[in-house]
Amino acid sequence: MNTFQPIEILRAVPKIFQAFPTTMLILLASLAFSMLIGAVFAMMSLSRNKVLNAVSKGYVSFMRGIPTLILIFLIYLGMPQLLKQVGIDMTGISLTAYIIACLSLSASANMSEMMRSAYLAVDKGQREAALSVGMSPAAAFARIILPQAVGVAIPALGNNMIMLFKETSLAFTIGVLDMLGKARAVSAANYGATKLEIYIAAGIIFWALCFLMEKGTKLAEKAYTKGRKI
Amino acid sequence: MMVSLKNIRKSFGSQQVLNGVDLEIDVGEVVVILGPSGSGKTTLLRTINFLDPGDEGSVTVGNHTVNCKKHSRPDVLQLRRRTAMVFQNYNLFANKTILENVMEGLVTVKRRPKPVAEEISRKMLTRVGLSERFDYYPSALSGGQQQRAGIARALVLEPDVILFDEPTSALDPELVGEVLQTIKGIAETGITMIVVTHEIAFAKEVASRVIYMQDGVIVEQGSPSEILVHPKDPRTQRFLRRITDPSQDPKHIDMREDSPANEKSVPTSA
Repeated sequence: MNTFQPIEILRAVPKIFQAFPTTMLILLASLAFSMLIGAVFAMMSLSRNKVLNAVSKGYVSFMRGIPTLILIFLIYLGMPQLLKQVGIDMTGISLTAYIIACLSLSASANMSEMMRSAYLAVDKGQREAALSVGMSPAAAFARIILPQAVGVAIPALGNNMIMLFKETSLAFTIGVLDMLGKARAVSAANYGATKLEIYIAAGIIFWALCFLMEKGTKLAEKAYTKGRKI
Repeated sequence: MMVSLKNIRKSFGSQQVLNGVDLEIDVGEVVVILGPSGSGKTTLLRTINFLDPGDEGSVTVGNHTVNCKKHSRPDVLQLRRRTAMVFQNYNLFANKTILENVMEGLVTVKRRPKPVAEEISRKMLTRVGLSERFDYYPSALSGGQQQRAGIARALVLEPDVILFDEPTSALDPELVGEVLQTIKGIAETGITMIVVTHEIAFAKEVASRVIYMQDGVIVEQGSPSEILVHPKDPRTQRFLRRITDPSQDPKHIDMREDSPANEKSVPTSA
């Protein structure tokens, strides 16, 4: 009895798109936090301190190895229980905040590796040259190394952003109304009669946005490295 | 006294690279340091501006003395602001144009206003023959042009002493001349220079003093003719023979061996 109606795909698109701001909020917030956390671990892995190296290595290995969904369950279900024991009440925390925290942690491993390799990609001699003209190590980093490392990192950043964007769809598992959550809600509203069309619509939206991000990355890379090699 | 090194010792791991080097350099001297690879000459240069801090000893530039064992960041910064370095691989800032490369130290270190820094930098680049290349990025220039820009970047800071670390070793042979010519021009202005190089002819022509180093110590030093034409130490003699006699494959000569085959007369020209 369930016949495929392509027109339902078009009808579903604007409905799903209502949740676009939620998805974007999750994406951008996770992007920002994962880069902050990633920067800290990248610095630790680049430091001369062996203990910090090891801590960073362990963290990156763990966060890369654990599926994001397990991390979400651990933090969303496990952490409030754990913290309750020590008298901290987590009931006031919004679901979106949980998702942002989980995605930030999960993505921070890749961000850390991205930053580390971008830093190492910039020729060490330029740092020495900056120091030799009397610049402080901080100035050498900010004015010479960082601008080049950013150029190196842009393609990887684009990739990480696309991966993170797709993982925002995991938000529905704990009941956040992101785009996928919205799609499920729309489907449920008409008893699943058009669920195939609705998920096709959701898939198209995700793919289209990924496509835009890919193009955006290419443009950013081109604009940033205009006229020079790095 | 412009530069004074006292008992500089340095090792990388178990490898002792500098074995107690003492060196005094006067204002306006052009000191050329020669020696086989691994002799510690580049490391010695790098201990002066603390890119490789010595393990022991002290470094004085101008009236600023820093103890290698216990140096603070401001100490090192002071030393670096009195010196400038020209690198084997140029090490120009790839994210900046040639003009910006030269301006960088003036603006961020010497706090000159940008228009002033730009004017001084343009003049300096013109002096090294790069007046047509201000807005090029380093990657668009030849090695010789990059190295001349590197020299301008060092010179523009008006350092007490310029350190040249094998400035022509990475260049294609046909580009060596233009860079040596530039360095020679600078030497004639009376600025104090220390040059680590393999260019014997250049040392002969430009140096006021030649130093021969091997195994982390200064073997002998003196005027170019004393060291390059009439070297006293057999180690210096062997080294000169090796690099001036093209029939001898350097790989087959052991620098420490005193075999009769190595005891030919010393060539007098490079």
